[in-house]
Amino acid sequence: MSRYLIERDFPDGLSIPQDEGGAKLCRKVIDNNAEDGVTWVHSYVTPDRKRTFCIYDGPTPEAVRHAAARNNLPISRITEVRVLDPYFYK
Amino acid sequence: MTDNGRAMHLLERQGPLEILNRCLQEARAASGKLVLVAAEAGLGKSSLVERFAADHRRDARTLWGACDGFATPRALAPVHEIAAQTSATRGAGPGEESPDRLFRSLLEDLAHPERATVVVLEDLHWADEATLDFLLYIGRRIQRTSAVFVVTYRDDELSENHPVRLALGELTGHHVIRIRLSPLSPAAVEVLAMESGRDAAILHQITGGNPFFVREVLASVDERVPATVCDAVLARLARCSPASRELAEFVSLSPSKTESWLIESLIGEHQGAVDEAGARGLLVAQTDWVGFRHELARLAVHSSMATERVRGMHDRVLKALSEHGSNLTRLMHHAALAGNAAAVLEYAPLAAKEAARLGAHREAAAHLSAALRYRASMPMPAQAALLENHAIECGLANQTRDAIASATAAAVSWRQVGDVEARSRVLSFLSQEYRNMGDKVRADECVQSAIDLLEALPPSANLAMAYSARSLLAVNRGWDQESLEFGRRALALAREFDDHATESHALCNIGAAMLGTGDRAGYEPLEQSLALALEYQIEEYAARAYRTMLFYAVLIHDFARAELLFREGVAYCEERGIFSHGAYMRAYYIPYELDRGNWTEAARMASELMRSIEITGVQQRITILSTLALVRMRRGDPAVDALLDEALDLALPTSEVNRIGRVAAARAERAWLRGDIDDVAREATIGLDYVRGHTAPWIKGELLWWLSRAQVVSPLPIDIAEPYRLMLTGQWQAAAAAWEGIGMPYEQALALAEGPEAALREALAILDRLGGAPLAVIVRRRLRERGVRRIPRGPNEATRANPAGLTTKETEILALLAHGSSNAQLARRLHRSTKTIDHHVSAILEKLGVRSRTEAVAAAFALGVIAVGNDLPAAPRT
Repeated sequence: MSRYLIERDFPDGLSIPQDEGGAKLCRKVIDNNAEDGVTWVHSYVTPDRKRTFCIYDGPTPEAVRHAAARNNLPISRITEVRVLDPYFYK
Repeated sequence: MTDNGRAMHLLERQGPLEILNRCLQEARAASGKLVLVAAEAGLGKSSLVERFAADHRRDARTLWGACDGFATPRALAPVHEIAAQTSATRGAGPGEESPDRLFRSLLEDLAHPERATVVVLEDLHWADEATLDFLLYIGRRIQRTSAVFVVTYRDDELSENHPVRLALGELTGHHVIRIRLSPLSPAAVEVLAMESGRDAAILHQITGGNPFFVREVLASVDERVPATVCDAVLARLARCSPASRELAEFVSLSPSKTESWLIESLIGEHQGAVDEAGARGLLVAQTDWVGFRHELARLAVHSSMATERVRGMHDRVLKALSEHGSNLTRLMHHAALAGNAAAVLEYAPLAAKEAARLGAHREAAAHLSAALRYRASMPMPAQAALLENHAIECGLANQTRDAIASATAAAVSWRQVGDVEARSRVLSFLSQEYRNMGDKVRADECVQSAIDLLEALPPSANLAMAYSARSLLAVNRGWDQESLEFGRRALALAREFDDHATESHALCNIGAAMLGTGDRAGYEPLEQSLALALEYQIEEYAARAYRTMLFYAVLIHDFARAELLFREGVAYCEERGIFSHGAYMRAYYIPYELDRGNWTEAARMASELMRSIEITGVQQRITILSTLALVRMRRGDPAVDALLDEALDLALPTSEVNRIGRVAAARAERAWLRGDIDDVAREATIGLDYVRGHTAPWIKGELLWWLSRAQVVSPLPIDIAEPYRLMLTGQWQAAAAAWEGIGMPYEQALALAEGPEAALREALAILDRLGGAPLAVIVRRRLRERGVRRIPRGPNEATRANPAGLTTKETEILALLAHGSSNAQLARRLHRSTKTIDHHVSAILEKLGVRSRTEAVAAAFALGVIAVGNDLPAAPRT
C-alpha cells in the first residue's frame, strides 16, 4: 500500500454541503474507493475551493485513477508521498 | 470430509446458505456461478455444502468430488469422480479420455438449460495441477451454464505462492462468489453447550468457536476441557480398546477412505473394532469402507504414532495393496512413507507417466523427485533417464531451476554412458530452459554443444531441431542473417525427415527474423508454420505461431493484423485450455493498447497479468513492466522507477535487441520528461549499444530520437522506420501525419510538439484527450515561450527537432548556402556583419562534422535539414 497526494482542479469550485447530503456524498466516495482497495485519508481545499490536495492510500496509481473515475472526480496529478513529521526530530 | 453436519443444527450459516440459494436461482436462469468457500479446518465447510445440497435434492442434480490428501495427489481424481456421475464420460473409462475432451464434455453437461446442477468440489487445497487447470477452465465458462459450482478449501493452509491460491486469484468476474466462514459466536457455542452443563464462555475461549472442536469437547466425558483439538481426539482414542486403536491407526495411514478388504488383510476380522470406534464417534463405517469422521481427527491419530512404527505399517499396507492391485498414486504414497526404495523406483516412473498424461506435471515431477532420492542404486543409463524425465516434467511445470539442475546432471550421466544422441537431446532441452530464464549466453552455449555433437553423427531430425533452436536464439538477439541461415537448414532437414513439428518451428523462426527487420514478407512463413501446426494438431506450435506473429505485428505497428491475430489466437488457446499461451498473447497485446492511446486498458491488462500465475516467461514480464511504466510516466503518475529497474535487470541478460531496446527507450523517455538530458543520452545509449549492427527499424528509430534530444545524431542510419526518420530530420509535419496514419496519437503529439504554434495547439488537444500531462506541460511551456518572444534566440524548441542540433538561424543560413550565396551576400541579406556570418558558418561546419561549405550543404540535404527544391527563404522584414 502506498500513500499518494492527489491534486484535483475544480474550475467551478467544489462544494460539499455540511449536511446529510454532504455526508452521503462522502460515504459514496468511500464505498466506491473501497472497491478498488483505495482509502481516502483526508483532504485540504484552497480558500477559493478550486483546488484540492487529497491524501490517499492505495495499491497503485491506476487504482486511484479508477476510483476517481467511478466518483467522477478529476485528477491533475498524483504524487507518491511519505510522512515527514517535524516534531519527530528532537 | 464427512463432517457430521446432520447431527446438530447448522448454526450461524444462514448468510452463506442464502448466498448459495441465490446463486442457484441465477443458475436456473442460465447464469451459472462459481462459489469459493474458504475456512480453516473444522469450521464446517462440508456441513454447509451438504446442507445446501440436501435442501435442493429435489430441484437440482448434485455431483460430488473431493481432492485427497496424498503426499502427491492423483491427477484429476476429483474431476473423474464428478464425471462418473454424469453422462459425460459414459463409454470411456477415466484412463482413456484426454483431459481436453473430458473438460469439454463436462462443460456441455453442465450447460443443459432444462435442469440446474450443484457441483461440489471439496478440499481444493490438496488439488493436483490438472484439477486446477480444470477449475480455471470451468471457472472462466461457468456463467454460460446452469450450474452452481461450489469449491471448498482451507485458506489457512495455503502459503502466499501456493499454486491453489494463485489459481484462485485468477478467477475473477461477477460470476465468481467468495464466501469465508467465520467461527461460531459465543452465543452459538452457548446453544451447543446448553445441555452439557459446561461453561460456554470457557468452551468458546478454548475452541475459538471452531464447531468441530466444540463437538469433540462436548463428546468427551472428562471434566477437564482438552487444550487442543488433538488432545480431544486422543482422549477419545485412549478410551478405545486396543483392537479399535489399532484399527484407527491403520485407517489414519491413508488420507482417503480405507476399504474393508484392506483392513481385513491387515488385522483380520474387525467388525467389533469398527462398531466400537463408530460408537465412540472416532470413525465412520459404510459397508465396504472405513474412514475418519474428520481429517483433523485422522491427523491427530496419525501424529500420535512413533515414526518407525508408521513406516512399518505403511510397508504392510503397500504389500497388501500391491498384491490386490491399486492405483499408482496410492502405491507411491505408501511406498514413499515406508521408505521402500525398490517400490518407489518401480512405481514413480509409472505414476509420473500417468500424471503427465493428464497434464499434472507438477505431480509427475514430485513422483520422479521421490525416486531421485534412491537413484544411487540404479545403473547409470537408468539414472540418466530418470534425471532427464524429471527435468522435462519440471520444465512443463514451470519449475525452471529444478529442470536445469536435473538436466545438467542428466547431461553428465549421458556423457558417462557415452550416449551422444541422448546428451545432445538434453543439451537442446537445457538451452530452451536457459532461454526461458532469460540467460541467453548459456542457452547459446548449450545449443551449440548439441549441434557439435549431432553434426558428427549422420543427419537426423534431432539435428534439425537443434538448428531450429539456434535459429530461434538468433532471432531474439537480432541476428537475422544467422537466424535465417539456421532456420533454412532446419527446414530442409525437417522436411527430409517428415518432421512436421520441427518444420513448423523453423518456419516460425524464419518469419520472425524477416518481420524483425520490418520485412512484411515474413508473415508468409509464419502463416505456413501456423497452418502446419493446426493441420497436425501441434497445439504448442500453433500457439507459438500466433504469439510470434502477434508480437511482431505489434512491434511494427501493423495494428489491423495485430487485432485479428489477438482475437483468433486467444480464442484458440482458451478453447484448448492452454491458458499460459493465451496469457502470453495478452502480454504482447498490451503495447498495442498503449500505442493506440488506450492507456487505461493497457494498465488494466498489465496489472492483471503481473499477478497472473500464467506469466512465467521473462520476455513477457519485460513487456508488461515497460508498458505499465510508459502509461504511468506519460500520465505523470508515480511508481515508475521500480518497474523500469526490474525491466532492465531482466532484459540485459536476455541480450534480446527488442526487449533491451524497448526498456532503454522507455527509460530515456522518462529522463526526457524529467528534463534530465544527460540521463536521456545515457539510457538511449544502453539500448543503442545492443541495437547497433542489427536491423530493427522501429526500436532503433525510437532510441535515436531520444538520443537526438541530448546530442547530435549524425550520420543518421538508413534502416530506421519512416516516421522516426521524418522526426529526426525535422520534418515534424510529415512525421505527425505518418503517426496519425498508423494510429498512434501520443507519437503524433510528440511530432507536433516540434512544430510552430498551430501544431503545438494540436498537440495539446491530443495530449489533453489522452491525459498526457507531462508532455502537455512541455508543450504549454513552448507555447508560452512563443508568445513572449517574437524572434526566438538560441536553440529554441522547434530546432531541437533538427538532427544536427542546428539553430533556426543556422538552418536558414544553410538553406541560403545551398543556393550558392557568399558570406558577404548572406550578411547583406540577413542584416548581419560578415563576422557574425563567419561565426555562424563555422558553427554549422562543426555541428555537421564537415570541413567545407559544399560538404555542409551535402550533409544538410542528406539529413533532410533542408529539402531539395526549397524556395529561397524570404528575406526577413527589416
